[in-house]
Amino acid sequence: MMVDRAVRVSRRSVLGMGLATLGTALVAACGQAPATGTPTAPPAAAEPTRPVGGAAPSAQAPATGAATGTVTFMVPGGQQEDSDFQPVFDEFAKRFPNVKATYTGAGTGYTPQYDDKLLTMLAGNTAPDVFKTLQGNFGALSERGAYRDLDPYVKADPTVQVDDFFAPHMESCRYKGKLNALPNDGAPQGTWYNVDLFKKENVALPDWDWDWAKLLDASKALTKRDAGGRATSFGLGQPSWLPWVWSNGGDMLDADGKTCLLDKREAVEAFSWIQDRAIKDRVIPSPAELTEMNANDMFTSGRLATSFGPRGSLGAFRNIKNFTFDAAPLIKGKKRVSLMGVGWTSIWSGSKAPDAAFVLTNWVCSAEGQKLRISRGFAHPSRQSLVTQDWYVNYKADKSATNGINTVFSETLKRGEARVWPAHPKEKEITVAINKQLDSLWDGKKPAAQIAKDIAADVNKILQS
Amino acid sequence: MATAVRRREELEGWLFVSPWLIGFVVFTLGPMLAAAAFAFTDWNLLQAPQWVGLANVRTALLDDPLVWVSLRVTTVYALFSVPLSIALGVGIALLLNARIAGLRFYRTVYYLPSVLSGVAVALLWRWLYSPDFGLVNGILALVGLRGPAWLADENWALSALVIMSLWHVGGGVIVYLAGLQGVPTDLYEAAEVDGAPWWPRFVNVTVPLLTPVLFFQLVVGIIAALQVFTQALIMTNGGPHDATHFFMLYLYRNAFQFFKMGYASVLGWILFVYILALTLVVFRSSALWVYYEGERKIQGAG
Repeated sequence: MMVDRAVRVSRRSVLGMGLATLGTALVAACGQAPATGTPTAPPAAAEPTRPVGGAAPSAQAPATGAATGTVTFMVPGGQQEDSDFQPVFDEFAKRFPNVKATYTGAGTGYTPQYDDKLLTMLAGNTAPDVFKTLQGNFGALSERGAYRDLDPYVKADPTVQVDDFFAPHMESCRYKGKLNALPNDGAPQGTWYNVDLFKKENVALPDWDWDWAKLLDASKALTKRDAGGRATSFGLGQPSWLPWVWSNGGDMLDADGKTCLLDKREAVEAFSWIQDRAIKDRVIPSPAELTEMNANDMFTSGRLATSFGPRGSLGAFRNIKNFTFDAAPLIKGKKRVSLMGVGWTSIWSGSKAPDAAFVLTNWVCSAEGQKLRISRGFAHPSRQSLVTQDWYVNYKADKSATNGINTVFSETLKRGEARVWPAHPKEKEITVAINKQLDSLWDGKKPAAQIAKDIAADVNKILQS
Repeated sequence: MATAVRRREELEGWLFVSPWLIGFVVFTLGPMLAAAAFAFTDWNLLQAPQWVGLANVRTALLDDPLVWVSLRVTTVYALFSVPLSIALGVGIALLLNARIAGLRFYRTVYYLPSVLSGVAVALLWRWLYSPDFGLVNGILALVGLRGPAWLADENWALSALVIMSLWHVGGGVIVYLAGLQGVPTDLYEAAEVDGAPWWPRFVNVTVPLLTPVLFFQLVVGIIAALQVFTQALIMTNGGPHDATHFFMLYLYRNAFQFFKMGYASVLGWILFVYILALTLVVFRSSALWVYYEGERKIQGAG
């Protein structure tokens, strides 16, 4: 064979250059290096909006004030959310012609991708003037100055009608004393149940008096297996562990947020109860079974007798055609403490038009603004005045058995039996650490007491770092 | 005059490469240098970075077990997925290099999966791995085997992702096919004249002449395998029990969920150094097994 050194060197060089280029590009891409722009610094609070009358069309509408400008608004969700917000913005354009509001659907659903998008925009100094925050980031973003303090605006504008909001909603909007959001919606978890399955097995329907013992009996009766041992229906959806801990008298963190309390007896008992249902009684779908369809899909398909979730679950359940369903309050332990979500609606601290942004924030959180959206959909209002109105109380899904779907969530709020996930600067990190240990709760790899101990150790390490 | 022409040609050369150069500086080199700077800071993305010196490096190397867990998971994944992808890719390329009817159709079919997006493929494979209703366990049941829970099983989740990585083998097949078609036919003819059957021809003619392509695919495969992210995020979220806690997932969480961009920058550089080291090892080893046609020292040729 002919040997040609020049050719050899050339081919190697070309190959090497190609690899080096590709490698560098891939490595750089993998690094997800941040932009080099100046980090956002929270600006000083501007003068609050001064309502100066204007053509307020109704007693409940926010004052138009003198604010002018163009503001952007971003929410999670998808096409459903987009269409539900459409009338809100159409009406806003009519009532507040001096403020041009642009709606942006993030197109991410209520997923971590929304957080990614929002955080990237905040870091790049291109965040929307008004936006909603998902659970898990409110404490972190508050701590890092992403929100404008709304207290001066609210104090200056009586149309906000703060007292009309449910107390837990408003309390959840405060972080270290500052009002960082207004609540646009939000509800505690309830117990959704398949009425037909309950009746078929002659099991009494859940009500306010049900406790964990009754839930256990019902779950056993409602779980059915075929000859091969495969469950054809499950009695119990995976409960959220935190309301179970709360309902047993425990808590996640101490009052200062500096120590994890999940290794205490109350929490261990709650974890044990859940693990026993998953491993010993097998009345809860296993993680393997939930890879096929999530709990909502399993409930919708009629294979799950009970599922826990807020009123927003109606987004999926209202399309049920094959069986009757209803909602009951979250089942109580020693007491009932449900976990609630809140639609925190905030103004970005870097907004160039904060006064106009507040006009929009106030509108989407107003009674009329909420009604325009929620009457088309399935969320839960954050205002007490709305949950007693006919359009809300009489909402009927095709297969809902009673109007329990409209009453149990607000009743839970009125009874003071709902709490939000404690806002914390390291909330996501804590959640990831806890969820990792909870793998063992569902597959039984470790006993509940050990899981609780390991969770506390991991979380305390995060809190002290 | 000649100098003017040369200068003009030089200028034109720079103009031709300038789009790539600008892109490289702005989108690759710049962010890499920025990440190097942020590695020495505590930066939460929203407020000014705080200088912390080597604290992030010290934490990553000495105090954070998840760094090593994720590095181990990622390495094991690469150890299996890269050789399997190469072996399967070469095998398919050999079949597609034969003179059979409908060759173009088959080549298209094998390449098609490579053009699908990572998220769509991840969601698709979630269903394929479904324990009770999935196609994978359905096929196993046909031969009397009870399949595992795959993604929900700590012992099988990583294997499931390795198998899934073969979905993209079609991209490599194109490269192997080009390599195979570059093998001079006179070498095969000479081997046939000497009476060499198929296997010795493959081992002594095809493989040596394919080694530059295998080398390229090996390096690119290692780089890609060490950056697996989408599957872990969409399909398993790192679980169960950290069985699929890939390095990139951990980096992403630190950067975009835990507000630790400075620490994530250190993780990025650790991965860079790791990839660079492995790439250098492969480059150094190439002298032992990569054959370039026209090279002076040829194995078996004296």
